[in-house]
Amino acid sequence: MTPLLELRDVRAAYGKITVLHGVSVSVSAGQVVALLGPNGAGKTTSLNVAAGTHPVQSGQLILGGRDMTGANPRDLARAGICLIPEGRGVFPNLSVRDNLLMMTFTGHSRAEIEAVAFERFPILAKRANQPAGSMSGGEQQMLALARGLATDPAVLLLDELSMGLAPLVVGRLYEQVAEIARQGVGVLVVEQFAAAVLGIADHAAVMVRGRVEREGAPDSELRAELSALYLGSST
Amino acid sequence: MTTDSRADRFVRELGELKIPDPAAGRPRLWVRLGVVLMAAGAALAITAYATSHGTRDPLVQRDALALGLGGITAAVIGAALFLRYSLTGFLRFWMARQSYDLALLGDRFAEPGGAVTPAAGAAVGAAKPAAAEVGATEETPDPAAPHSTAKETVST
Repeated sequence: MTPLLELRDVRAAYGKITVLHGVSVSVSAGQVVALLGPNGAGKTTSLNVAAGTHPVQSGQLILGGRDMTGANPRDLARAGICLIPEGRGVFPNLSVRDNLLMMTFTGHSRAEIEAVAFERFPILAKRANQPAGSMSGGEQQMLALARGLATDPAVLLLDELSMGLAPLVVGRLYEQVAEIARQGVGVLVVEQFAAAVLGIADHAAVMVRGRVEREGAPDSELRAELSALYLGSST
Repeated sequence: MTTDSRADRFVRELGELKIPDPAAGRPRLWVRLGVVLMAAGAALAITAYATSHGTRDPLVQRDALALGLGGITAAVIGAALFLRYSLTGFLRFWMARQSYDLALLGDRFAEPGGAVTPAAGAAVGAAKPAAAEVGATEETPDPAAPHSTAKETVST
């Protein structure tokens, strides 16, 4: 099967500082791929390249088998690439309902969007009229996910889903991510804390200093190597 | 929604996209053009003024007048171009900054002790500084301080 998303030997930079040195990752429909690594490894930049929001120096962004390097991120979003950035990006002083209403730009009606969001995250229905900023971090992350799902994504890009959340909440969120993937959505998850995401990932890649140092199935061997890769020594 | 249908639709929609976006580098070009026009226009106007004062020949003075008017026109057009495109960039930055601040505010509410009840939701804006202070006080309690003192700090 042709991968929905593929980064092929991508190099990217911030000004003169190159942060990605030939990264290659691919995500197929229904697959959860975890991009792991310590701070500054280039995970978020890889995600931004995949969403089209960061330019590549060389290499290719292949979507659905077609070279889309340099495509406008708005077009990619319309086609079905959905990036949920680090920090959730909900509007804290708007109610949950109004946050969902913001997604009607995708062409879906308010009722459709709320139906999808409230079915997957029933707690949001209870909090519908509450300001998003007054909810817990986990609930805000659910709202961010619900907003992402409202765009009917083909590929979901998640950046640090677990950030600032209790392990129990993270576990529940990742169960939802696995459920989303089972419905045919390709999911690329960037995580600093590997334990949570490896439980649901079909494939994992560990990045260190802008390179994919190790990739494969998230088996015990990879888990054992993770700490060594994080600390910069080879096993 | 089946796997194939969404994936197929994705591929089809990608096929309809035009890439790359050639307009991506244009705003910077317009800003630069605006700056050049402003500088050239101003220089032209000053030169024309000096020329017209340096002669008593009415023909040369008329030429200088035309040149000066042309310079001022170029400067005005340049300023308009510069404002139009630099303002766009600034407003984009301002919006990004606003979203970042709002996200920060949201995180502050999500902190233990910083959350507001649904009933108090309407007063989110007014409660912001107080909620932040409460959150900060609760996060860094003085272990040596008696419990009652900590409570008093929170309530103020």
